[in-house]
Amino acid sequence: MCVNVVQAENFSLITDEIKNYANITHCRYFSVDTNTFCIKGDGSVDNFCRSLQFIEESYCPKPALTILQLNGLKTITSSVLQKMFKALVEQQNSFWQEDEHYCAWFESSFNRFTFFDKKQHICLHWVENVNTIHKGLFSIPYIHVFSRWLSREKYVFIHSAGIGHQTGGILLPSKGGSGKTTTTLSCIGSGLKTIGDDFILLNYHTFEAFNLYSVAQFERNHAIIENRLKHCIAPYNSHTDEKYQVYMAEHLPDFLIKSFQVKAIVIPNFTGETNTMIQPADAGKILLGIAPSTMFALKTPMSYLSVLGNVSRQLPAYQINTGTKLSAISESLQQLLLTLP
Amino acid sequence: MQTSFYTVATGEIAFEQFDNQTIILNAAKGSYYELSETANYIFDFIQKGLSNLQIVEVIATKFNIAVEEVYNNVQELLDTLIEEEVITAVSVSPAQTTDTQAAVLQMSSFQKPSIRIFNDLQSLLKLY
Repeated sequence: MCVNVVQAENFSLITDEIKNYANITHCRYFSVDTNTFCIKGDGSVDNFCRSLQFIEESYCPKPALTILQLNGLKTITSSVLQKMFKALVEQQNSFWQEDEHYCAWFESSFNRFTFFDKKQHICLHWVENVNTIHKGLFSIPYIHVFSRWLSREKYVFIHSAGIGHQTGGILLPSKGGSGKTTTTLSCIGSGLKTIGDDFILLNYHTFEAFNLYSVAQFERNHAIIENRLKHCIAPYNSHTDEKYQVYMAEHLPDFLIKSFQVKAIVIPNFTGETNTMIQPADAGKILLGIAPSTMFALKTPMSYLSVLGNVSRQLPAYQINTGTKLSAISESLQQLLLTLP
Repeated sequence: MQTSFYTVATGEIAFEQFDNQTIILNAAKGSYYELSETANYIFDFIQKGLSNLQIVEVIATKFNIAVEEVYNNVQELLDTLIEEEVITAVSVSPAQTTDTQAAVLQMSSFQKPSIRIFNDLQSLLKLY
């Protein structure tokens, strides 16, 4: 029973078990564009909602997606789930199973299990111990669930930061280490705002981009950014190898906006020079910047590439060669935004 | 020189072609590739059902380059694409018709085809 319950033919059992938790009262509500969702469960809900605070709502009557968030075994009233979680932890076999109806995976390094019923829009996210798991897991929680829930009809997720104003902004897509977060954080206090620094949601019909996660993560060797944001970093612990995290809704709420119209895509490229320069880029370079890291990280269907290809072709493309003088980065982006229609 | 036809692998391969380059993703390996302009044309010829020798012939004829030189360049690219499991060799042309002249019409010059291989994101596919 323990092993069989994580087999694809038994996924409907998990959906049924999740429905038994309908009366849980600890519930938080969120909305992105016109899509509403709720996260309910035990105390671990609050850990995983921290990066979603900026899009939190006081209440949503009929959330389109329900996520059941559970921690440990004490609060698990379902014997089926109890046995399954115990078996998963004992077996220590990471797996990923996905078909058109369900997606389920277990990561043994974190002892966490995620299940998503794509038709009924119900998710279960269980962690063995919320107090000891890698803090990075709190920064972009449920991203695979959100991408499967919303990547239909008109949305794509893009591994990208977004910088601009209510009237329009730019996407800064890139894989790690290329200066995306540095570029974003250099704009604090410049008048520019952000819709996020990791994954943003894009309506690829209207090119409106939406804030989902208001967290910025950066490597510990970035002294300039670290000194500037020391008071915001949580947890500020210099003795671990985890990235620094800045929960912007808590510390930099004025820096955040919920959405903007995308005017261009700008690929960041850290040069190490003093000055910053922006130059035109071609669509292929943009696709190279947005597709691999987005698609590999989200384990998307391969058809995602065609959508991202069209996005790359339709939006103006630039490369920003960022220098070490942080104020020059935001100034260059401000100037670019002024030139874009 | 042996005639071979090729087909783009299905399932874990996706690609987008632009005027002067092609971006290919290989989700099975966690690799991605950027084809140069000439390689972009050769990749297009493959999809049109041309054999390796037909590709060599149309390019060598159009640009008046020695067949052997073109063959070495083209075959090197094809061998890399096979090694990366982006294409597979097949015994017959996968396309219904092969209009070799039309295929090469848009090609304005021939430069050694090149492919950039990126393996830096393979860790993103790992389950932890």
